[in-house]
Amino acid sequence: MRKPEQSLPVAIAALFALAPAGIFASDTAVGPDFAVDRDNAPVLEKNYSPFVGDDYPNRVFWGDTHLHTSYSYDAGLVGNTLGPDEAYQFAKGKQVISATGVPAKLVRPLDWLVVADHAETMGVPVLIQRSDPVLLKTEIGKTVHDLYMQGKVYEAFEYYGLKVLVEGNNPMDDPAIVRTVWEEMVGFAEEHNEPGKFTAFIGFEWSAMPAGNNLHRVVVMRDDGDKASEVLPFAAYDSDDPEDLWQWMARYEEKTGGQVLAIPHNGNLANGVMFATETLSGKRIDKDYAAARAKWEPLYEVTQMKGDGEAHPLLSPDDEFADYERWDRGNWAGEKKTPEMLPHDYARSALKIGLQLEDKLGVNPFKFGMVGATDSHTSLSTTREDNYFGKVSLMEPGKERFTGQIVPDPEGVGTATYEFETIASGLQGVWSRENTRESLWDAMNRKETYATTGSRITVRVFAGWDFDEKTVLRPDFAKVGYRSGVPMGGDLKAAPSGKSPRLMIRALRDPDAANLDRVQIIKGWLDAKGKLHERIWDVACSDGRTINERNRCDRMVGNTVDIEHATYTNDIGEPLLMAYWEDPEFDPKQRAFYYVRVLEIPTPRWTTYDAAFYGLDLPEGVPPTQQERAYTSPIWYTPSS
Amino acid sequence: MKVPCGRLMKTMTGAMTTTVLILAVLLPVSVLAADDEATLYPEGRIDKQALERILPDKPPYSPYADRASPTRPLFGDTHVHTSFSLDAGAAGARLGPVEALRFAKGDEVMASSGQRVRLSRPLDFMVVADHSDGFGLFPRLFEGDRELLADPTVKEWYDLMKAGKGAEVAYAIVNAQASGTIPKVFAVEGFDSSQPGYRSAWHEVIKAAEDANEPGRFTAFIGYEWTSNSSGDGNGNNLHRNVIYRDGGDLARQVDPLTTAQPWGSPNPRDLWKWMAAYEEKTHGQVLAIAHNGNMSNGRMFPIIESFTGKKIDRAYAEARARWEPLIEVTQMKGDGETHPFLSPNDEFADYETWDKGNLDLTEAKKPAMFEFEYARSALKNGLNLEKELGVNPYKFGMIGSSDTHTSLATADEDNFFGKASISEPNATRAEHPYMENPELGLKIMGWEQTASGYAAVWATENTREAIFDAMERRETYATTGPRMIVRFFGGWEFEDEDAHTRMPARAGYTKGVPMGGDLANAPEGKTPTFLVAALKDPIGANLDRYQIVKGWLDSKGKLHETVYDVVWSGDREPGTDGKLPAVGNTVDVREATWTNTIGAPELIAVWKDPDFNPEQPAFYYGRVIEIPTPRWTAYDAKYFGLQMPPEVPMTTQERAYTSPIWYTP
Repeated sequence: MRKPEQSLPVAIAALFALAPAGIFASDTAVGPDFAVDRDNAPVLEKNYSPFVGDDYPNRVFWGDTHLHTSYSYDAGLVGNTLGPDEAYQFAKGKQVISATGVPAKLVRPLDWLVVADHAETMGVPVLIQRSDPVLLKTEIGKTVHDLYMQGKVYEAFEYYGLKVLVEGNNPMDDPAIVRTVWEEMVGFAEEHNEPGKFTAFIGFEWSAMPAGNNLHRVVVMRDDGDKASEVLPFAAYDSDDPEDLWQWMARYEEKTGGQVLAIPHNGNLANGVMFATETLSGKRIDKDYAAARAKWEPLYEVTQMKGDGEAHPLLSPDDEFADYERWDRGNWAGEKKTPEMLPHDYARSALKIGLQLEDKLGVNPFKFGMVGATDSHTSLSTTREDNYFGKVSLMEPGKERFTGQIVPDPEGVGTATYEFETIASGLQGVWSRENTRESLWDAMNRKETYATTGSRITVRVFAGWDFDEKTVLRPDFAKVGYRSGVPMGGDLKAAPSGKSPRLMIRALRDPDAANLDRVQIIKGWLDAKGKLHERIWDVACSDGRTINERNRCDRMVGNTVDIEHATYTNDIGEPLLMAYWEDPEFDPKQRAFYYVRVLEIPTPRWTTYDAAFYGLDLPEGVPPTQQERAYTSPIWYTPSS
Repeated sequence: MKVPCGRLMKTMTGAMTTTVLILAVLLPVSVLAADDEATLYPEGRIDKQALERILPDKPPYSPYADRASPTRPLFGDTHVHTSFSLDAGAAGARLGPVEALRFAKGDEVMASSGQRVRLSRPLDFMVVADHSDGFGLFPRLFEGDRELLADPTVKEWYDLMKAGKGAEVAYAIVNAQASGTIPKVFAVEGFDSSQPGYRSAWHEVIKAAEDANEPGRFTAFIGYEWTSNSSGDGNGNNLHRNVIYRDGGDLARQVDPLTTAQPWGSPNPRDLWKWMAAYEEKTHGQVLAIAHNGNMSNGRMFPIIESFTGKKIDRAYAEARARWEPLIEVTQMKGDGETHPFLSPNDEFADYETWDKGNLDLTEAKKPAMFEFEYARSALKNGLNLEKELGVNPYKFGMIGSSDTHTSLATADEDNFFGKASISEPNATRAEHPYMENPELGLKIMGWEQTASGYAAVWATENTREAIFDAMERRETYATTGPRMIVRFFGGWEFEDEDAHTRMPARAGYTKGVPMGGDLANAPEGKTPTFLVAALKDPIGANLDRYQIVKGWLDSKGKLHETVYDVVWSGDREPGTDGKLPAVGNTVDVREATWTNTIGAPELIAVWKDPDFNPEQPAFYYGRVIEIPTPRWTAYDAKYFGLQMPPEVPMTTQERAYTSPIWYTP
């Protein structure tokens, strides 16, 4: 844009200087081309209808960014017979028969879904079932096909794993065959995308696992099929370095004019690599890396079936709720976890490290919002404890699922993790106005989203400098929140002198689920000596509990769970909690972030429902009850240079 | 296995059944003896073991599999007038059906008065229900259609309108229609629905609905209002009904709408029901009718003595009314029709937005004896008596609210009220401007008496014409005066306190009882009706004060009674010695037109058992949910326009929801 030759105040001053004194007396203002007198000036009236012009998000849209179908080799080759079509139908609330023959239905439809099958040999199971001639031309393809067709499913999968995963061969290096599959995937999404009613994003998973460390990213496109079809998905064979994925994303945007983002997950299985301060190639993170990561990865999948990744009890010893569905034994290769890896595995500590890196580099590479997703391989996005269809088809509901392993322990060092340790999690709430690819994607990109471990808890948080404790009680509190503050995912800057950040929060329970226990604010900050800190404040407690001097509800909420029958009652907790909080320890010179954690009252864990349903003993090593939760995206405070 | 065999036989002709029997007779005994768990049928053999392998022996793992009950209420308005209604157009409405539907979907539009307006949230469904009398005449009048203007009265209206006196024209038209002095050309063009001009306007409205209807997202019903103002024994008595189609345009276009003037139409509801039956017979479609504003019928809406004949209603009347009118519009902009303080002197919430000065055009003043035949609660009571006499209950209706707006804008929120007609869209004088008056009788209804109400909530399984219509037919609906609170009401014999504490009360509700609109019959020996009630506040609205159950019953001497029970309420209030719960309090700042949710409860849920049940006595029960006090639209107006309202104008309100009843029949 061309700069105006003189600033507006200067121009006005010039006007006034030229105007005869008499003009002011008669209340007339002169413009370059005509004069306007005060009495005839148009009056800008406030609209009577309070909703005119509202464009802020007013609804939460629920979905799952991470669902595998029979098109993923580790789903379709091992029992999942349900493809993307069934996955979408199920997400839309239709009843389907699961791969193992069990009728399945969601409590309510989802609003949107990303089918994110592995890019690596995407579609190979269906190609085998179709005896695809191009696939059969390769030795690996032919061998797997023949074993599979003879009914030797395990042998086929074992051989496939050896040849493809371990030895790194790619039986699908013919772009024609990849294109066939990708166009099918795009076609499913196009067919099921119903703007305003249900959004089917086009996406895939880049499943890099260097040295057994989970660096997976789910790639989500904003665009329709015409743009998505111009490229082929980027696979770990192409590179297992995230920096190369970002370059692919940049090329995609340049080529198509579209937009794409990536969401990493399972830092807990990455043994210190997910949020390392070094790049995969061993260099210290620099400004370019930080800028690229911040640009391409606005979100992190903080909770999913393979464990919760918000915080770890060793990192957050003062957080009595930190030890939640923890998976911290090691990585995929059987390398045992060591304590120094943990800060680089978990979201809260990564957010803190991000402040430090920003201080050094001027850019925060770990400035991410929170999402929950399933990573289910059953085509069934189930996250409720009472309706859990498991991580893979082999562990769909049945009497046997307390025994299988899901993470191996080849070295015998204790990395084995059992199916009963998988968790019925998670979901993503997106604050938006419309249920369309564009509107939801934009909300994700600006981090106006939050994670839950499966319940549809509605959470709103706004931070600003001018709220008071009555604002949160106002009927139009969200409008005020947007007008004079920022929502989750936003930034606070330039603290007005003498003011501290003020937060307003409302949390409403899932209408079909449990009451709420409490609302907490989690703050992380970097002090003047470069040291990182975190602190938790309970800001709303149910059942008339007060907040004690340790900033906690003065007692636990209680527990109504009947373990034997796997039931609970809502006669403790509250359906709605509201809070106003002003940071009592604010230092305007220190970088900080704030996010909200909402806890439900205790409810039965899925294993407890299973034990009741199948008449089994509870498995050892998991609790019979648990407290579902929501994590909002943070709001960051950055001092003015 | 007997089940498949039985099912098989049902689908067979007599001859084939005989074959099966012969087959069975001819079967070697050894086959049956060898495995008496097996059955032969013509194409093969079924044995129990094989069936057990494929048929589940317990409910599915997924608790939601096989669940077919509705999981969320859909909110809509069944009663919106646009510029296609003569009176709306004359009063300044410039928005047609297309704009009305766009607005309902959440789009911002420019109101007829030039103000921008938008809903707080989209609605899920809507019925554009323009008056069938004079359908689309207004656009023709406005354009100065020569044929119409040849009539001197029409010319006079046209000139008045051009002089900016649309409101006078509107009332002149309503009055002319009510008094039967409508100009002849208007009569023919307006009442003969087979006239080409009429028909093309009707088809335009159908097209607007067809275009706006998006199954799964937004439902636009086809519909119209049959606007009878003459009750056979007088004029100006409101007998209006909205007619709603389950069907698409292909069926709706096959039959022209019914108007009210003879020889083309009829003001008698019996003729409307005939028209509905004829429509269904011809098209195999489905329609229903919803009456409204009994409060302006001067005792004719829910008759025991039929005004057209002067005789007691008969079984045919009762059957037809029950068949065609499953719902009533109990609350709307022209007042609330649940009950009247005269009828329910012990109900401290009865005097809510009461309009009781006279009939529709105020040509006849109200007399207390009329109330009984105007309000929902007393009609439900009289229905019990009539059922006993006639064997059919003509007044077995469910409840919905709707706006009856004539602005095309379905606004029922207090902070966004665009009035009953375009002349009463927001402006500084609308509150103190009379809405209707008759100086001769000294009757006057003021502008501030308009009610920002209501919406229809429907527990439908999905957002389609079919699903919503079917839910209306089974009366699984409730009325709200504007807020979108979620209300459940189940009746059964076995509800226990625990059912109210589960996270999914609806599961207990549907499996152990019947939802709102349903029936309880044949009381099991020694059992008492129990009710599972639940209400969740409007997510962006006010907290809840209390959930009440209203019971009406007929005693053994033929006397009718009613009682209002407080079932569950917010806070730790205790009922006083008079049995009444103290008021919830009031946080409204009238000057600022705001309030806070520091009182009340976001959710109320409980199980209630009728303490006064007598299995010999027919009864009905419905839920009433009351919000904490909030500013009335007049307070928002006062704040916005900087007005001082006269002292008689109420500035706060307690919005509410009324569920459809559940009936107990011995």
